[in-house]
Amino acid sequence: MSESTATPATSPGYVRPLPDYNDDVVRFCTVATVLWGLVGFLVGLIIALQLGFPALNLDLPWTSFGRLRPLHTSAVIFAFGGNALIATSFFVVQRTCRARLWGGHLPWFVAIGYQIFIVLAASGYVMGITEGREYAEPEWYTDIWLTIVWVAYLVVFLGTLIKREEPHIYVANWFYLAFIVTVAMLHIANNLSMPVSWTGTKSYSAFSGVQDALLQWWYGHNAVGFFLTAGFLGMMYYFVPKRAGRPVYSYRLSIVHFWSLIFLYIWAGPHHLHYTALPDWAQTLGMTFSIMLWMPSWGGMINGVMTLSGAWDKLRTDPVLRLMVVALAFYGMSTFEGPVMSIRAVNALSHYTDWTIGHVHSGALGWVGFISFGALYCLVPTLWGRRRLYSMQLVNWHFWTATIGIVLYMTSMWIAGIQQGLMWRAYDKLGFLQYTFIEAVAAMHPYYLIRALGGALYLLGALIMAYNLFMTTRGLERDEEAMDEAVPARPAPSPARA
Amino acid sequence: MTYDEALVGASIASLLICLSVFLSALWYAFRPASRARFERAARLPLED
Amino acid sequence: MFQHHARIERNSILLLVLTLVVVSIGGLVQILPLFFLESTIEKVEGIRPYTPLELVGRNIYIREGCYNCHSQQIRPFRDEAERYGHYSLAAESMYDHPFQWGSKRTGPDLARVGNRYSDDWHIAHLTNPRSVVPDSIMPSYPWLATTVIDGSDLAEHLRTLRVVGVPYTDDAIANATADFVAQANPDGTAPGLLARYPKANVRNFSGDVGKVTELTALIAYLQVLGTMVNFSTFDEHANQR
Repeated sequence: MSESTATPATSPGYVRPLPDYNDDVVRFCTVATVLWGLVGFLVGLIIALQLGFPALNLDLPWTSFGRLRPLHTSAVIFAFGGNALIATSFFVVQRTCRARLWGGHLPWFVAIGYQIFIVLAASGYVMGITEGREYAEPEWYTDIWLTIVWVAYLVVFLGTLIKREEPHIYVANWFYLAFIVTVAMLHIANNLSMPVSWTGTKSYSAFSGVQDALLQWWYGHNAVGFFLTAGFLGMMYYFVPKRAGRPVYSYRLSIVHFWSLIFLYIWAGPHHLHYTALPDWAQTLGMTFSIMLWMPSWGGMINGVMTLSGAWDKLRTDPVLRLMVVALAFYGMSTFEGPVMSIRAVNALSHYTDWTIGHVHSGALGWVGFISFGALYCLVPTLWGRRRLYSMQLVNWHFWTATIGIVLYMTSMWIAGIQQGLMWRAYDKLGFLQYTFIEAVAAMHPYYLIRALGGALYLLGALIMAYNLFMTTRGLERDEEAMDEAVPARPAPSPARA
Repeated sequence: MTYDEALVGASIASLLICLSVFLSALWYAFRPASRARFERAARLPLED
Repeated sequence: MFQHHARIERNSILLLVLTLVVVSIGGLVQILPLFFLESTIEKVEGIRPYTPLELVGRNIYIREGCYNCHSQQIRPFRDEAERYGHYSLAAESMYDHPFQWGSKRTGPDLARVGNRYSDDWHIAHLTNPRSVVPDSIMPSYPWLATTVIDGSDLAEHLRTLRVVGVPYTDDAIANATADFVAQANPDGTAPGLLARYPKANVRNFSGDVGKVTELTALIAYLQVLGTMVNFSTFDEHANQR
């Protein structure tokens, strides 16, 4: 859209020349997003299959489940998600501020430095270099490097905000800023550790036992809240209105959404530690705030979906918009499921089971994945100066393969998790435990296979996307039946439903 | 300060902070003076 | 006046500071009390720092990512008590840097796996889980038995742990490597080991002669898990949270 310089109807008078946006760095991170996404989904599929067929661990250290699982989580969260966030935040902050990214070459340092972080972390995992705390596995040297890169990221983002031409800071940037600054705080606090030697890789956490657990889940939960939610909400608040061609449903609601979300989220971490050695008051606090979180989450979802109010027909004609709206639906679903699972009675059943895995993936595949795919489909034609995507039909194919994949994944894990939880606590008539642990493991086999199939479909969808985006960058347009891809409102081919 | 006193203090403080954050966010968002600016701001993504 | 009202969305630094304040409150209220209130972790008799051999085993446990599938935290439910044993106490992980409570039980909880199975069972199970549990989906770890550790840097490890709060004595640090060897190859020449680490298991865990492999260390760690507290003399109500 950077090429079009039409005067907006509502702007107060003069036509400003567009700044010289730094889009090279956005292009770089966009490509990285797609490539790391494919890697992360592939490793996910491999470890899903390892749970079905343990021989696939190959009896080698660097291919065993325990080392590959952190590789999968980090690749999808930090490599795919992180690059998507850096790419879109750099894109959005320039356009909504009408200012070039601040800091000269600093944005490039952020982009390349972040890839170095990913390679350092990933190579460590397969070699068994890990701090052993979920989602914060990188060792001390990688943590220090990430801290440097992240501070540079904050400086670039803040610098661009400060020198902006627009008087108002658009709400998407609020979410991005909260994401950047909170992740910095979480990362530093949670990774305080003491290296054994400055020339070695091993370090010991500064905290132990209960304190370490609370700190880690304060981090872990808020990584979900600020990395996977706030950041991607920033994406949503820009790309959904942009693609729908209409302003967000209620700007006021978005502000209430912002403050209540960031305030409530930070308290909810202890719900990961129900019935553990953590004091009860902390568990109760975590549960209470988790339930309250339901309100801002749904406020945000409604705000996003209602942006399409009066233009629902676009869901039929524009599969990119459909991806983003379904992302919001998954956001609503998993932010409903989450508070339910934080209730202690439910958690007693769901904790330690595959239900948690299913819950995480409905958010990760449905919300984070789909909103990122939607943003990528919007970004690539704009960044490479193409008139349109190579193929809307392929977007449609991507949408359906991925959606079916998610449904298979979620339903299999729900059933697996609940069955697991029930088998563990089942008693026979004589008052003995009815099942041995291994019987519950064996019962999971079919569900693990269905889950792997779901993951394979999701990966297939991402491959279709990668092909589509690659052809788009080359300036090709597939000769196909139009699905009405025009972004600005255009009369729908059939009478629109009100 | 005993453990129980700290608990009561923490819960009262958190309730008050929670309320005040939420009310100030509401006040800020729904104050009539903001309306025009917000309406303009909402169009920012559509204007580049 | 307009400028005043518009401050938040006009001033990016203010937005940054307000955001930081708002996100800090919850963390502070929840986390700080745990560091200052004694009752979170009472001293429980029997809990001691890991021996050097157990520590090496624990580091292998972490390295191989065992926490991805095994929890070490038993919840206070009847079925968990019957399946795994007494619920976990805060004190039992007070020397765990980092904690390994886990979040998923693809495999069973290991908080009290110590002394439940023989060393021979662990050797067979870690080398090929399906040789003893046909339906197991656990990876095989054949490289543990073939990787020898000399333990020469263990004094550094203990010293580092002392910096973060584990009460290793100067004596323990000075004897770290000797204790490491002595625990796995008992020949009666390590009189100090049991004084420094009361009730430590001292035996040849994996049948290795004259060397200590990763398998030895990991089994030494697994065999001590959950065995430090004597629950026949433990007073439940003293630990009411």
